[in-house]
Amino acid sequence: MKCLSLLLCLCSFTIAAAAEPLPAAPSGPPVQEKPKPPPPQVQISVQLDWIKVPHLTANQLVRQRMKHCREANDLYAAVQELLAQKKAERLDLTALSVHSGQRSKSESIADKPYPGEHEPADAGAKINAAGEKTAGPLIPAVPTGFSIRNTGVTAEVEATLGASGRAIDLNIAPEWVEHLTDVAWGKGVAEIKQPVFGAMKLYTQIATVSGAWQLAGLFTPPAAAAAGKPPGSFPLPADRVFLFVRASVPALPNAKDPPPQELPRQVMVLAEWIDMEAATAASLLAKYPGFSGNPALRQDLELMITDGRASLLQTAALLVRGGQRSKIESVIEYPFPQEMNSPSGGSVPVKDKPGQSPLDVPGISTGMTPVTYSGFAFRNVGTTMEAETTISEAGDAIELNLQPTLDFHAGLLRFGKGDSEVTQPRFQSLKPSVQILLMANKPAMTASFDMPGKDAAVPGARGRKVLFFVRGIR
Amino acid sequence: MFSGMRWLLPLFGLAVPVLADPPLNAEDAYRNTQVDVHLDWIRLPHAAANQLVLQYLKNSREAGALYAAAQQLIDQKKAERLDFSAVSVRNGQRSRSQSAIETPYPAEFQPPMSGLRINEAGEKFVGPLTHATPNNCTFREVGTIIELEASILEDGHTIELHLVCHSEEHLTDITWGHGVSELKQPVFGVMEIATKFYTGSGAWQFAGLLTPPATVADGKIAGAPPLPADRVLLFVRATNSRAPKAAAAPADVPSMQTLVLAEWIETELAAAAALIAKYPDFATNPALRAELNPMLADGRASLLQTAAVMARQGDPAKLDSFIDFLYPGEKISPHGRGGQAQAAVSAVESTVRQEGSDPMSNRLSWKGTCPPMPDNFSFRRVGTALEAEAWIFDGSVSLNLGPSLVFNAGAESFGQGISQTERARFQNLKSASQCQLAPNTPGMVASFDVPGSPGKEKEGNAPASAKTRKVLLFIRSIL
Repeated sequence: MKCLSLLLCLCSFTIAAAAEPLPAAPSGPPVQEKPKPPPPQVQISVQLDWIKVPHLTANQLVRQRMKHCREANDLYAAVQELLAQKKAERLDLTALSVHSGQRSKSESIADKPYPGEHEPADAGAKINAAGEKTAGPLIPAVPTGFSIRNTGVTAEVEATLGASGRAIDLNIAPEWVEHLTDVAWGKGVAEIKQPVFGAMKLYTQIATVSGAWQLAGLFTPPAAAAAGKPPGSFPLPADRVFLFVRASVPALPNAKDPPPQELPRQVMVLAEWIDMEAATAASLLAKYPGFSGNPALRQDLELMITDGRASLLQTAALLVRGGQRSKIESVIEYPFPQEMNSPSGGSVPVKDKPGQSPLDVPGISTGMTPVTYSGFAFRNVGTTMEAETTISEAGDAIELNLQPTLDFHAGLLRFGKGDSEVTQPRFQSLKPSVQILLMANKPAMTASFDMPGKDAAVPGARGRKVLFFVRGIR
Repeated sequence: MFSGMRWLLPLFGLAVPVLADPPLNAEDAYRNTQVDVHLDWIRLPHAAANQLVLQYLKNSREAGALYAAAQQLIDQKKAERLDFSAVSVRNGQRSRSQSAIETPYPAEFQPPMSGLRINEAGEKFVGPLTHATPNNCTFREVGTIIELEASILEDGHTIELHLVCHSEEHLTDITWGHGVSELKQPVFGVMEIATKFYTGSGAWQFAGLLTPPATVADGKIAGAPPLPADRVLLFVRATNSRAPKAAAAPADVPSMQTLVLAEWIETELAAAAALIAKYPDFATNPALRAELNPMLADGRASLLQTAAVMARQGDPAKLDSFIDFLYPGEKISPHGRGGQAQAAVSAVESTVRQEGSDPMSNRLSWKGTCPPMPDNFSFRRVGTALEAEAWIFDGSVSLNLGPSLVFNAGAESFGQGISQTERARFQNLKSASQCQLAPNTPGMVASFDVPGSPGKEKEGNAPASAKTRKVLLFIRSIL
């Protein structure tokens, strides 16, 4: 039996050895293949121009100088004139190049570390020469964990050159972040400083032609609040920021501008918040019950803005490709505490003040620490607009899905007493979520809101109202 | 209706139906696409609101006359526009508009901490070292939130509206506990309506009658009787802004909706008993309500509350006017926080023994103990609610009803001395019933005790639970 299994084993080894190919005999030095040259790539140069202008001027320029959204050369030229007259200011200029069909990123940033976690403040104790335990120094809150935030300008671009050799598809995500200030939470040894960041962010797709300026978005620049007011509180800053984008390619043989109808459809979504007396707003709505389909309502307001009966609260604009979703944000990232640690101490006897009732707390920080805030969260206050559009075949009707939001810091509220007092912010939101079918270039009112700031704390009747208008510039 | 949207179909990857009609342009697509909705909140005195609805609302198809009458009162400064909202909504879709303040309030607390203290005389005792500490806050949206869904029917004029609106205010803060355990909690006032109804394009429609939350005066308990003096009429106008003028629906079209009007009328127990004795068929006999009119005029009866909500056949509608009242469900006993108080007591005891004093003097050392801290807060809705579901058959209306009045009846104390705690109590006037009513004809559906005086004041041998006044609830359906 053993002989049979040995024979089978030997046979299987022979068959396996016969199945393997024989190694080739070496024949001279190995031939190295020449690396193939990469296919010729078209280099696209992209430029982003951030220009600050007064709000009213920015609003009027968009409405007057942007007749369509294929290019914004006329608007850009008008803004350049303002720059020359010192009525506008260039905030920044970003340039980067990208291979057609690929993605590039440019970062011009500085790290900003800030403490994200803290050990609560503590009341120390010491033993004196007589061996008695006495109140020692109070130990301040200790930052234990840090987070990093990139401040500066980041631009991410994906660009694709079309078959015409002139049309360019852009996918852009620029981001502007600033460290505006620090806000202090807590008091005494428990005081913790947290940073406030201002950000302008955009995410959108743009169809453009080589060399043409495009308006990608209209932002509100981040600004530290006026003295005595928390960041992000009403009113909004006085200026707005245009973000212009230009993509250029070198002249290619047989390249020609595509006819406008062959360019992908897109629309400039312009949103306006206008505030006025509640009675004025009510009479306008009584006059125009079909307010979303009647551009005359916005025209009536133009006169009122001029003579002061109404005022332009906010404007935001965003270029959106048909069938796509885009987002623009002009926000202040405001830190506020979410977790609180109760006062600590009490390990040594606390001496009462003269006349102190035994039922009352001896006093602030008598051997005790105040409340320490230990966990923080950021809340965005400012302007955000998200839009999705579908554009009709003829391009004259625009289906819009829109979520614009105005958020304000509405002041601080205090709870508790003495060392146990905690502070929390409150926020005011003006937030609609609407679907609307617009005729190109015609404004439509879609919602009304309470006026931020002024009427916020007053219960009962509203004194002022805000009307929200949107138009699609094709 | 959908032919106008045909150009959108390829964009969503759908096949375009082959239709014989001519190719569409944007103007065609533009028609019947958008409904503009305007909501008007008008505040006026209770009696005036009740009378206006009874006099000017003749049917549930439109409320133009009632709106005009309310406007006249505004002009005469007898009414006030509380607020208005405007929202545009795509045909068949949903829109939301929010104008609100996120208001924080503390939701969790740490009890005050006790520890060793030395008073002026050098005595050691256990006393409070801190106040109660809010250690977790939550946010509440205070303001106006409107949610709408609108569909334009085939006639291009009638609009089916699904409306949810919520108006909220932060009225005041209430103090719970005392001394170092004192806490403050917010009181919110809310008006809320959720209903579905039909309306003609451009016509004012009456959606409901609400009670505005009243500011809580000093010394008054939030949500306690009497009810506020004013009421709010909520009008809604929906306009098909993209349609050529479509003809209004003829008036003889049978109504598919009804305005449910509830009235709570208070009168002497004897008068109420006499009326019910006279009209044993009180649910269907409108003469009972008619007899109360002169009594209301001469003061023998008084209108306690009125509420109204528009309800579409087969769809439940709900109206709420309430104060959201936060009250504590538990208390933390007066021993201070965690084991620290115990440690402090042990320290005192050991000090006392070392100094050779009477160990019983330890009792004195507790003189500064923290009072119990209110904890585990819950919300309770105090106010008026009216829930209705209507079925309309052959000229009569079958109603499924859930009206309720809830009042804050003050607080009751339990325990003794420093351990004494208070619990809130509430008085309910609630009914859940079905009734069959003739259109525009009132019927009485229930009777209740008068809020605020649960029992008769003891006079002679009268039992404490004997009632002196009653509340009669009347319902009418305006078709």
